[in-house]
Amino acid sequence: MEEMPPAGSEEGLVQQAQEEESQSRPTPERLPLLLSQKPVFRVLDPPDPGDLVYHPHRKIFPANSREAYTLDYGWNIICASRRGDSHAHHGKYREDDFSVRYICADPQSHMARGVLVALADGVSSSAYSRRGARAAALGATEDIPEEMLTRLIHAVRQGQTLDVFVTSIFAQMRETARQAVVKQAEQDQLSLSDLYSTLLAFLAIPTGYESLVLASAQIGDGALYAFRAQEYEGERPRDLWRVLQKQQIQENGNEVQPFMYSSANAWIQSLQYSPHLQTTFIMAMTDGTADDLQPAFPTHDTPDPDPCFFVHQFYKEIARQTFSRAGAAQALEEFLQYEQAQSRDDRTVVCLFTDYPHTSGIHLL
Amino acid sequence: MASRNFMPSRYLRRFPVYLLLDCSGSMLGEPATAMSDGLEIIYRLLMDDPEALERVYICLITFAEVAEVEPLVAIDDFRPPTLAASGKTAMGAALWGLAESIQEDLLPNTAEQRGDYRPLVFLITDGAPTDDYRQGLKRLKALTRHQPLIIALGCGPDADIAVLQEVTEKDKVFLMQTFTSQALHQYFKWISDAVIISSRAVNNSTSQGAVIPPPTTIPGIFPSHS
Repeated sequence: MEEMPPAGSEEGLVQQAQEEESQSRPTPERLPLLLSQKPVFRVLDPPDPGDLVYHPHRKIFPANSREAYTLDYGWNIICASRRGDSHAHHGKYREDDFSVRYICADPQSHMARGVLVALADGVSSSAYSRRGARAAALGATEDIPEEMLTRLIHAVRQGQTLDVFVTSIFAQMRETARQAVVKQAEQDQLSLSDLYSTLLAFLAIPTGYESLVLASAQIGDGALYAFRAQEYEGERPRDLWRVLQKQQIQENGNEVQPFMYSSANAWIQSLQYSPHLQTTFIMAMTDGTADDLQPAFPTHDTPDPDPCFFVHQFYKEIARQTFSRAGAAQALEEFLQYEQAQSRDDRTVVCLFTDYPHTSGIHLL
Repeated sequence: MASRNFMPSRYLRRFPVYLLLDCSGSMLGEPATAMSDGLEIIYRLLMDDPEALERVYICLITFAEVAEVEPLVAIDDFRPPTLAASGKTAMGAALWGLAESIQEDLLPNTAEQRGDYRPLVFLITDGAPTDDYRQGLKRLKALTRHQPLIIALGCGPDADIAVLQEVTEKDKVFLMQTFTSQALHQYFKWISDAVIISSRAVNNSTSQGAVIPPPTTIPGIFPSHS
C-alpha cells in the first residue's frame, strides 16, 4: 500500500490539491452552469496600442538565430515574459521587461564569454511604467562600456580577485539604468514617477561546466535562485537551492520600492557576489512568479516548511516542459501560461543553464 | 497547453473586508431592510468581478445589545443574511470584535513571505454608542499589524459624528443627513466599487495604495467635516 505523505507536509498539500482538482473538474452536464456563474478574465488590448511595438504582450529571448549564442562550457540562456491576466483583463500593457547582453560575443562562432541580464517590473500606479521598465533594463545592460566588460573577462581568466571590479560594474549599471529612465522621461515629456519600476540585474561568466562567476543586485521584489551542481537522492529542496536574491517584502506586504527612489547604497548593499558558484542552473524572475514560489506558512504539522519546496517544483516543471523541446525559449513562454489562483501579474523568467544534466542537447529556437 | 496545478497550495493571500453594521432598535424597518438589500448588492457585484472573487474575504459584524462577529469567509461562501434590528448600540463591542478578528484571523507579512492584505472596514451607524466604545477603539489602535483602513457613514441626524471621527480620520467619515433606502443602496454599491478598486490595487503592488473616490457623488451623502 502506498505510504501517504504526512498531513500538512508539502507533498501532502500537492497531492491533496491534485485530488481536489480531479474531483472538481466539472462533468459536461455541469459545465454550462459553472461557466454562467463564474466571471472570467477578459483579454483586451490597450486602448492606445501605439506602444505594442516595444511592449508586446509576449517576449522571448533568443527570438531568432541572431540572438542565439552559447556561452563557454556549454551554458545557455533563455528568457520569457508575458502579460498577466490582470493587465489583460483591464486592457493594460505588459509592464515587465528584460534585457540580455552577451559579453565578448563572437558573431562568427556564436559563442560568448558571459552574459549581463536585467529584469524590471513596472509599478502599476505609474502610468507609463512599461517604458520605465524597458529603459531601466536596457540601460543596465546595453549602456555599460564594452571595455569594462572585456577587462572583466580578462581578469576572470587571470584568476584575479574581482570584488572591487564587480562592485564598480554594478554601481555603473545602476547609474546607466537611472540615466536611461531619465532620458526616456525627457523624451516622452513625462515625469519620472510615471516610469517607476523595480530592477534586478545579474552578471554571469562560466568558469566551468558546473561553475560560474555570478554577481547580482536588486531593488524590488523579484528573486534569483541557483541550483546546486549535483542532486542526491533524499536531499531536501533547501539543500539543493541557494537564494541569491530574495523578495524585498515591505510592511504591508504588497508595497514595492521603485529603484529610481532608492539610494546607490541600497543597491550596492543588495549585491551578492560568488567568484566560484557551483551550479548548473540559475533562475531569475519578477514577482509575478516569485510570489508563487514563496514558502508555506508554518503549521502545527509542518513547523519548519522548506523555503525552497515550491522553487524545486517549479524548476522540475520547467526542466520537464522546456529543455527537451525544440524552441526552448518559446516553450518557456508557453509554460508561463500556467494556471494559478491569484497569480495574475506579468510573469518574467530568465533561465541560465548547462546542457548537462538537464538534457542532452538544448534547442534554443 | 497551460499547466494546471503542478504547484498548488501556495498560500492564497486574502483581502479582508469588514462590514460593521448598526442593528440597534432605531434601525428597525426600512433601514435594516435597506442594509440587508445592500449586502445582497455587495455579494452580487463582487461575485461578478474575477479579481475580487479570488481574494476578497468578508466578515460581517452586527452590533445591537451585543456585537455578533461572523467568520471571515471567501466572498463565494458569503450568504447575505436578513438583518434584524432591536436593542442598544454596542459599537465598542463591535470594534473590539474587529480587533480580535484581525489579530487572530489574519496572517502577518514577514521578510520571508507575504501574508494577508491590509483590511478595509466599512462602519454604518445611525446613533451613538451605548457601551464603552473607547475600550474597543483602544484595542483596535493597539494592533501592531494590519491596521485597518476604516470608512464610516453616519445615517441620519442622530448619528454621533464626533465618535466616528475618533474611530477614523475625518476625511473618511461621511454623513447621510436624511436616511433613504435609495441612498443606502447606492452607498452599498459604492462599497462594492471601493472593494473592487482596492482589490485590483493590492494585486498590482503599488506603494501608494488604491485611491478610492469618496461616496459624496451619492445624493444625500456629504463629507462630515464640510
